[in-house]
Amino acid sequence: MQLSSLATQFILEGRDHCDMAASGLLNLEKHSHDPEVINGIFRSFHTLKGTSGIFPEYVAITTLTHAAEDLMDLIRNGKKNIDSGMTDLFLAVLDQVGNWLEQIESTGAVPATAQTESAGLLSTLKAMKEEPAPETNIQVAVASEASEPNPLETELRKWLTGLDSARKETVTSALQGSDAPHTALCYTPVSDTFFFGDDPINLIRTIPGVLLLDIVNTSDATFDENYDPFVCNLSFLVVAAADSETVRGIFAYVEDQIAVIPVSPDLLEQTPEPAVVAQPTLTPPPGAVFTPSAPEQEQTATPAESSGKKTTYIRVDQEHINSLMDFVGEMIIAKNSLPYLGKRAATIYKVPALADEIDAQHGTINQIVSGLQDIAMQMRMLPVSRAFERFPRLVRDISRKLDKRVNLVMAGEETQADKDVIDLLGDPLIHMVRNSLDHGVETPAERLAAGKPEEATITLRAYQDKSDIVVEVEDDGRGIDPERIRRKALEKGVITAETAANMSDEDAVQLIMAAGFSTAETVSDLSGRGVGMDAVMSIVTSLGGAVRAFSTPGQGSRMRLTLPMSMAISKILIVCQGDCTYGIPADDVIESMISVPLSRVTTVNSWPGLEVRGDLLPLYSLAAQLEMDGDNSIKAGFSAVVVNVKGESVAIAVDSFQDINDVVVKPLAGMLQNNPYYNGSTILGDGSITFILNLQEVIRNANQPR
Amino acid sequence: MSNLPTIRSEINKISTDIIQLVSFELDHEEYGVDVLSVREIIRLPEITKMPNTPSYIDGIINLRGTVVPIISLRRRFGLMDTDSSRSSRILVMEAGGSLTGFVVDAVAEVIRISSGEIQPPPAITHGNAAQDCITGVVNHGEHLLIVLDLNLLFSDQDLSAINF
Amino acid sequence: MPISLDNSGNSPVIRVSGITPPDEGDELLAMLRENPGVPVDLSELEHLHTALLQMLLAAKVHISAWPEDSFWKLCFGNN
Repeated sequence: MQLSSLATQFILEGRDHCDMAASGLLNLEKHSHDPEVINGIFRSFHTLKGTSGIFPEYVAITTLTHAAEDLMDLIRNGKKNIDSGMTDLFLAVLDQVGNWLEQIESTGAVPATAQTESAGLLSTLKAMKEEPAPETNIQVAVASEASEPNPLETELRKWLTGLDSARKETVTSALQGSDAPHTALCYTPVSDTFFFGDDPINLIRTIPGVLLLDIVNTSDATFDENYDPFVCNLSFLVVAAADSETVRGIFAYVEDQIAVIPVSPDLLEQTPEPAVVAQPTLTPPPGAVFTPSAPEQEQTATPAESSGKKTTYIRVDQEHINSLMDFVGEMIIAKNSLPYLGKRAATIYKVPALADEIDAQHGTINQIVSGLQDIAMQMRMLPVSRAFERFPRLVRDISRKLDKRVNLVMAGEETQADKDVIDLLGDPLIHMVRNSLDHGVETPAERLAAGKPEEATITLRAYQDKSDIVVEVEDDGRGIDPERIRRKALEKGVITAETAANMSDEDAVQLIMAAGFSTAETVSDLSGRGVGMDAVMSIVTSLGGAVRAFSTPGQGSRMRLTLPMSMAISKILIVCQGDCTYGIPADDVIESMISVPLSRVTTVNSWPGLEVRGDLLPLYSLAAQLEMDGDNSIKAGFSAVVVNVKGESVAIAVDSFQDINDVVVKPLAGMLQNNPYYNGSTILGDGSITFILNLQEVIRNANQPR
Repeated sequence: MSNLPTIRSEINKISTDIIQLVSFELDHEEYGVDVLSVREIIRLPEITKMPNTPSYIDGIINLRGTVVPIISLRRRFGLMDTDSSRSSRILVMEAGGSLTGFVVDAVAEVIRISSGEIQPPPAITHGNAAQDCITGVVNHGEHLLIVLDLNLLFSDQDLSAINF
Repeated sequence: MPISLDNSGNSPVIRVSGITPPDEGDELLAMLRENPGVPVDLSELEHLHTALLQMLLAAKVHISAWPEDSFWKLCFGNN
């Protein structure tokens, strides 16, 4: 769907405001009634209303956010207290808006049924607004400025006293002609006011009985080649035949940007202060009048942005980053062909000198490419906070539903990983957190009985471990009972009685991730629907990661998820077997051995093991594991690669191995995509294709070599 | 002037009804696939074997930087397997959402037929991969040409069969 | 078309008419730059967005015809 750039911008910013408002609301529940936070939420609703108003076809968004803004305004002014019911309502509004934004992005329009969809929310918002205010009002926000001199007011007074005699006459005769109150206003919109969807002149135009109007340029910006039409540099000075309350009402949503004073005849008579008279022209002397106050204005206007530690981004079309990554990938492949070329120059064309030059050039290009690669990778890196963002909300909603009390702690949100990894983290994490909420955390009564605090703690923690990102979900709930897991697994036929008996408690706990295993005693609507930890397991292993469960019965459990930080470019060791080459992730390789004599192979229980410095490691024949045709026995002088598979060292017998290469792994497509033995394929410098092995799957079932 | 519109409308009518088929040979039978689904036709390059895949997957090739799986249509259709010859070709097609190469005995020509000439496939009992892909038959010169839609090879059932 | 260049009369004039949304800003900017000194006709104007108003003020253009609503004349300082 091709959207106009304005609409695209609206969607991007709209999402940000939904997120900001939602996190503000949750923040509010924790640290009740922080005026800064309340103002931030109000701003978000206000901006959503304003920007959606530019698009008449999004009227449903405007109407809904307007109603939310109205209610929020009452809260802001201390006329209402926000309670959890209201928080729920506001969150529902944000969800609805988020849904619409998504629909606009995919279909280009708000659904035709939008108005009816939101009718319920709308009437609840209105009903809450009408409800009489509670007796115990907590005064929030505003007010504080009253005592401080408002710089805008100072400017307004100066303007009034500095008016020329003809204009003063206009005002005085109007004052004499009627008893009606007159009001003077100074309105200096924030410089990015247009981006909030505001149209200041429209507000001015709504003021009844305008007598005088001056529009002043507050910056030294002139109409030259640098003129930016979307920065507002204006200040509006008005005298109108209206009372102050009416004028304030019109500017209620920008009250931090105005000064209003009632006009009396003596107000005009004060002696003008020299030098600082605002000229009623659009080009005052540079730096005049309002410039000093402008930055402060902006800051107070956007408390939500200044309070949170938000990373700022330049928005770049993801497609561009992807194709940059693709090009870097192709560059690496092209670069890798240089050593082959050098070899050919020496051996086939017999020009060793040229071979040396090619090698030297390869070194140079190698450096450049790795720099380029670093930057391209860095561009794709995002903080894990992106994946954590939704959890405060999720934990809140679910724990309320389950009548449990949970405090969510997040740590290491700044840990970075590739965008794809961050995006894919979401689903497994939801499963894990839901599992903790459902099965780990006890009810407050149970917790009290067990001598624990009523409120449980769930910790989401991320950190970097070499080239992996590790994310842990920890709770201080009842833990996982290995005995119960064994029994369940037996019942469900996941394991045999013999295995169950020989299994360590630690291994038994891992069974919760086995396919078809679910420990939920009652099936709730949140999890325990049969898709549980086994779903997590399959997503994570398909990404080359691992999940491990830890538990102390009675004290809590911890799930640890390990994923590669980046999936795009990896170092692989190329091994040869038969006519083919295969790639093994270099990080997994512990050591490699050539010309291994058969004397180092010992058979235990009819299964071969390789002796490595006194340890006997299980030995697998790659040919046998992949069920290759022909003789796939392990022969004298074979090569062995010792690899780490899920924390265990195993030896793989291959014909030979080559170098470690930087490669771009592409996923297998079409007919081949479901083959679990391969994580993907890559094209080497000489144009040949190599499959990247998923060793965990390859050695899952031990095949006897033939 | 007055009869121009009629002529034009007839041309339109005919051109929309014309279908172009790439005809190829497989075990002495002639088949055709829609020319629009064929990305390119190449000679057999070196095919990298891929262990632990269904027997009808010959392996994969590097087609200018893209890894393309190669399927032996003979084996896929349960026909007698023969070694490739000088006339063997690979039809690289967009099928099942990605590029796939199909090995055929020979590629004959691109033929133009009117869609009205395509007759429904003979009602033989289903169950064989070849029959599942047949969308019709056409009289082509002396013999019958079988029209295939190879996308149908990628039905859910078929994909799950490769789901090891 | 809220913004157009009218060459039909004796001398060219830039017409700004109807309700002008803020995103017309770029177009008006281009129009003013390409036609320096050309007066602006607001006779068909219903509402001028602040961004455009600011631009006309900054460019110090001559307004050759005013809209019905006298408010707009007030904005330009009765010039």
